[in-house]
Amino acid sequence: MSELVRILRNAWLDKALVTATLELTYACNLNCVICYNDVDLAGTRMTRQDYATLLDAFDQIGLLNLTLSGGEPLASPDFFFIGARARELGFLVRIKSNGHAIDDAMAKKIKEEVGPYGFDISLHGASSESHDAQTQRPGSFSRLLNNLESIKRHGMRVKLNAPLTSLNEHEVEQMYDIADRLGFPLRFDPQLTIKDNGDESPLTMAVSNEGLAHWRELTLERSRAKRAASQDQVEEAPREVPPPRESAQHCGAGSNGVTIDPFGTVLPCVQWRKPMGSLHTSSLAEIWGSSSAEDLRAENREFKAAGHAKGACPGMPPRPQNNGKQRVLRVLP
Amino acid sequence: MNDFSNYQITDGARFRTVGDEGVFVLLGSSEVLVINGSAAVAVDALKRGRSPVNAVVESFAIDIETARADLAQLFTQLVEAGALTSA
Repeated sequence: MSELVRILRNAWLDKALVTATLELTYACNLNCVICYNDVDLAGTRMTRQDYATLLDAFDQIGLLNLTLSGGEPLASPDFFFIGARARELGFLVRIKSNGHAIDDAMAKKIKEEVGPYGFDISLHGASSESHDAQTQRPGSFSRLLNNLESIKRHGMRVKLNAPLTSLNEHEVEQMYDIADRLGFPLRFDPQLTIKDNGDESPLTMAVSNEGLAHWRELTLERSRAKRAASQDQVEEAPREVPPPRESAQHCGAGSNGVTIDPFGTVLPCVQWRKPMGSLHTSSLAEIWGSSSAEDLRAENREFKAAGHAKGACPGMPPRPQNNGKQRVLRVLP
Repeated sequence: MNDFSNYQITDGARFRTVGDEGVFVLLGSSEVLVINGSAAVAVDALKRGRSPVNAVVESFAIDIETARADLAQLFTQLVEAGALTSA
């Protein structure tokens, strides 16, 4: 794996684009109370031809990692078209999904047609009470557990992501138990963000200070036990590497990584939603070499020069959560 | 005459050229194989259904027989590693 890390570090220093996220749609079959997507955002959608052109551009540029995201990416009618083409081109495809639609037949189809490197799937709790309250979809917890078993049966890799909130903070241990039973890694994220339209309602679900302390304690304990128990675990292919010390950039947003929304707007990353250009009017190569992209990279360098902490995000300035009672630094994905 | 058309990237592997090097990732094990730039040119040609021999000869100062001999060795190693299959 260290060879890949070396290549990703070189890509960082060369400002080469190696990682992209495609937000295929903001439609979703769940209605999570903590979701940051602006589901009312409108615009001219990318067509299949637009996606075909974009994937060819990624191929030319030398992209390695491609994440298909949403909303729920499987809600996009173009999901399999894009996934199959991405497979042909050899990208390491990750699917960021809520898992709700991935029953056995769907898991089989995804494996056969897209052949992803793996899934990032959200786990919102260890019980129907907490999980379904967070997704606002009765039955979603039991359905997710069945679907995770299906994905496992088809031999595909899953990383579970859990937003840590006031609804599930008392179930951290049980959520780790679920992940252990399935054999999937689980990562909590205590950082909730406001919606992309500025709506701050997700922050009302923030974890309490006690819940945060309990999660920290449990996670550190598990980490120590894991280190002691195993030296030969399978390592994941990294999507990105920490910024090399010699890099003037604070992070890879807009220089190694890019996010494209469903309407063809090119953004530096999922969090930093400052448009670099539109694929409806310019090619990816033109946007990548544009003055707006270079201005954004300069902003990224200034952010680093200003002495911000490593985990801080230029697109999401640190802000009080939970009515100002706590503040949590962001952990990079 | 061996044009290596019987080789292909295995179903469980992905190949990309990143910078000047080639990267195979084996999906099941997450194992990563990195190959040098000239090898990457050959594998990239194979991936796109083109002749790896021609790709190498056109890109580097190398004669066709040397290219064939080098590719035979490279592809055997990649088959052994689980990145390529040979029909």
